[in-house]
Amino acid sequence: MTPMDIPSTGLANANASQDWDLVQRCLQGDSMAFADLVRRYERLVFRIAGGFLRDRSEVEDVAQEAFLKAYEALSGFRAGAPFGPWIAQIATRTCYDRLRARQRRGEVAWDDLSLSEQSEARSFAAGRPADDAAAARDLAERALSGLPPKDRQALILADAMGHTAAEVGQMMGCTALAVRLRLHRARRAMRQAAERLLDGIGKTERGDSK
Amino acid sequence: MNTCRAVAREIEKLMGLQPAELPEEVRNHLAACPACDRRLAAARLARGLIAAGTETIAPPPGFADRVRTALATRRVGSRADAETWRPAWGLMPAFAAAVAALVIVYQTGEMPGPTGFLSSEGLSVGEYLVLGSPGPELDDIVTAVLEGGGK
Repeated sequence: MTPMDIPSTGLANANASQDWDLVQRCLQGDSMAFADLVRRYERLVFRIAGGFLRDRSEVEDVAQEAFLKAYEALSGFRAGAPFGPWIAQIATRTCYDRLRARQRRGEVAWDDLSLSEQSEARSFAAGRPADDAAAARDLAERALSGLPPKDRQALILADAMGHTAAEVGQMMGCTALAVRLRLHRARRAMRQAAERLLDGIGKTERGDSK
Repeated sequence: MNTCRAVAREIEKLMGLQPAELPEEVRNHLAACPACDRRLAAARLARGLIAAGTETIAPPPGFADRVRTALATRRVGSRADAETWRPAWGLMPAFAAAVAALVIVYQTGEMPGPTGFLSSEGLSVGEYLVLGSPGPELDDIVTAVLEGGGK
């Protein structure tokens, strides 16, 4: 997984003046300028939403909601600031609202997994790539949905998308230290989930599973 | 690298390697050390779960235009709402006066005179509404309304 394409500082500066021109045109009521802004940053917003939500229609829905929220907040956009981190923050918070509304699952348990999910767990443990992407995603969702939403966001943004703690903090609206604490807790929870799954694999291999 | 400590130290690097890519001494150590073998398996499994938890979904063609349309719809909706509500706000004083008149009629049984805003017991309209007062029973009011007239 490559780091997400939030513009780096240099690129952000180069884009910032173009973004600011578009923002000013939007504020004057030019909806085509807003469509141009959407085109510039839609990949970034979809990448963020895809990190937390698995249903395509829900990802599209959240992406649209994030852009509409951005439009409504445009008057507060700071002149010359890069648009990428700003819309990334709005998208992250919109996803957080969705995650928070969901009921968190309990601990992932081997006996609750489908056979294809169990097979994917074996593949991951052996360092092999997933054979069945849908089953792998289902398995991951089972494990990740047990985390508090903010811990999950920090984990995905840092460990799956490659952002630094400072970048994650900017997107989540918290300090880098808070991100590191969340990451520590989330990684520990994922290791514990992995240990439980390994116990399940061992039980099955010994032939004493339920 | 053939010690448990070295495996623990290098685990971030090792878990990114395919089994066949592991250095031979590591493979030999893992074969002989179930604890390190399990530690590496757990790290790989956790990493796999995290990586599989994200999905790269490309924006559909025309997404920007769809957002623009949604924006226009939202603007039209909010303008229509504002236009719907503007006359209602204009009618607010008349509505308030009508409510006050109804309360007074209910309280006194007749159109308000000079002291109509006070009941015979000296209660204000607000006090009256909170505390209640002798007046026509609800059944009497319903009957009067149904029969198309008052007293």
